[in-house]
Amino acid sequence: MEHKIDRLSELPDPILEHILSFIPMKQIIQFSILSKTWEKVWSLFPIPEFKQHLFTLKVHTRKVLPNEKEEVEIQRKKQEFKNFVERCLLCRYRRRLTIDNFRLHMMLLDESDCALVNRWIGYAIECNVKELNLYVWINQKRYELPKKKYELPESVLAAKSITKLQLSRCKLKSFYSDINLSSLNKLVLEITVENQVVQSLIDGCRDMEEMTFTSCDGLKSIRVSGHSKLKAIELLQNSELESVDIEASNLESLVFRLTRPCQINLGKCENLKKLSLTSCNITDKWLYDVLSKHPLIDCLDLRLCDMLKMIKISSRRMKSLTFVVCCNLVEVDIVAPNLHRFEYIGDAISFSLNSSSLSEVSLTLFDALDAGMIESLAKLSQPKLLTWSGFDAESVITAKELREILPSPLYNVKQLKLEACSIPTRQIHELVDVLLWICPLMDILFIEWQYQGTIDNISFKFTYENPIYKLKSPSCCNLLPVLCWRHCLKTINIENLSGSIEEETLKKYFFENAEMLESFHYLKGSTLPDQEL
Amino acid sequence: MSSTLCCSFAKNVTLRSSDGQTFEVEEAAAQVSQTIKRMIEDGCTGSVIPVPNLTGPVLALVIEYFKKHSPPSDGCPTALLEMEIKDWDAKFVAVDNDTLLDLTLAAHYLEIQGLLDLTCHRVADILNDNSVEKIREIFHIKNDFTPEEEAEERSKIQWAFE
Repeated sequence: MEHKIDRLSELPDPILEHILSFIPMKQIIQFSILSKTWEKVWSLFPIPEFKQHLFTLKVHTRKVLPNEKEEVEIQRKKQEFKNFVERCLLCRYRRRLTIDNFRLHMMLLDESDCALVNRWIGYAIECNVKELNLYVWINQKRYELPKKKYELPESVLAAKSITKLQLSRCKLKSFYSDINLSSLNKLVLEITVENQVVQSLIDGCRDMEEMTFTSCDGLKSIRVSGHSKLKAIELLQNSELESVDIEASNLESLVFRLTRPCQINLGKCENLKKLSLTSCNITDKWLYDVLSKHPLIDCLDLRLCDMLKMIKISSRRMKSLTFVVCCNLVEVDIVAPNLHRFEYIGDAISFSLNSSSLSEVSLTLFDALDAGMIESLAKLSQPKLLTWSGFDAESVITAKELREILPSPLYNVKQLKLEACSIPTRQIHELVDVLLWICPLMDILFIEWQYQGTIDNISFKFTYENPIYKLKSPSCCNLLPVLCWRHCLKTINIENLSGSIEEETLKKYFFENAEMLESFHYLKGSTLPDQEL
Repeated sequence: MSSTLCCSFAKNVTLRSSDGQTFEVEEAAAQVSQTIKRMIEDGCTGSVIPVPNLTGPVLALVIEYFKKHSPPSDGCPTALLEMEIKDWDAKFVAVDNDTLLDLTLAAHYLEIQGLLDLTCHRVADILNDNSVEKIREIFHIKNDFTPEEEAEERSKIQWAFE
């Protein structure tokens, strides 16, 4: 008889949990019918994110209405989902365990569904939930008015255990008598809300570290002050936002994406490091003032800020700069000795970039290559890697006469990466000829373009004869402090993905132009290791 | 420095099982168990260390595991050695279910993380490979549901079987 003892069921919970950690959740749930004791398995796996759509039928995505049989199936799935959530929570609640997180993604059909969610939130709060994440909405026909929304129960805003609260699509009441989220450090809202509720939430949670408000209709103004732990604020596409006042001594990151003009007042945020502004109605003076008041800013990202005309930046801390389609910008003047990364998308404008440690520049210019652009390129502080997108191969080829009057603009660039819509494959040697004038001593040239609907690319790896010093000044590079590739290029390795570029054309070109060339290799069908598709 | 000293003297400790059997084992090997390590650090060496939760045969098995997993005296374990240990581990837990559960509990009480992972994984494999009915049979789990109750429970979690 002795060997018939059921010892598995008697194992302590931590061991069972360890065993179950090697088994998928679905399988674990099957064990709940082993015996009544095994009901407890509902609490012995990490609580999952409850997503209703994982329980819907495939037919649901079809445009046609489900037939009767499918409708029954759909209802069954919905009921199964509710049972699943209920049992996971209830089992933990009954066994007085903590519920670390409750994340629910669900469409509600009626009042009884709302009551169900209220009950689940109740279990979670009773079990000291730390992370509460609700993405719930009430199903309504598109034209049905008024719009109904799930209203968050009062108890949530008084739950002292909550450290992270994320609410989407539901609704906050206009007044909560008791806001006491004393442990809250992260607040993420994507809801319709009355302004004063958000303000009382902000005022009531002094220990907050991060807050993100996205598409919060009804949010008109935000005042932040006295939050000494606050590190990051993100305000994204809040359609009614009119004014923002921020003063937070430890704030490090501030991200704005506006949809309408908004008054932004930045008080003392002496630790601010990252500032990202999209569609903001800021002026040159505003930016200048903010940058001079916040000298620790090392990452600045400006997008679609159409009021900016001339940007002048002088900063020892600045490491990364991004300007994207600020369409009235005409001049950028940067003195930043520690700048590491510079990205620009827009019309070709006048750059002046003074930096000794620049390693990466990424450009997307809307104009054809001309003398002005060459001069701008020459002022880019010679980055190690230059990525040039949307570049127009035809205009580059026609720009070849410029080399009679201008020196090679980027003689220290080691890697040039180009992304073009198309390139004239027959004239590849003419294109390469101009590119080698622009960057006469690069190690790697990589060109990527569209070819018959797919992406094609070619890479060139160059090595040179050392040392490269100047005894005489050949006519091709008399404007340069060093000899150009024609006098020191030793080996070339070319790899072309599709084989659309003819080997012979390139071979002829390089042997005619490079005096010291020893070896030329061409390979079809391979790419640079870091460019593997 | 201290580890090289240990090797030259190879200090032993004595472990006593719940049924009074005693085993001598190298101190360094026994310290694979966090529980025993703590007892040694608290000065239990010299006298016999009681292991009241384990019977003699189980303790004997655990000591085999200790010996195989004691830190190598000559530096880093090689890839070859690791492979060999892995093979040995797999054979070590290819035992009857009673012994497997004994070892699981032993690993839990003695805080031997490697052995706990090994045995739990083995139990999980058995659970994974068998139907509910078969699991009941293997581990002698008494089904205390009435047929109606079981059918109802099963229908509620039908999706988990799909």
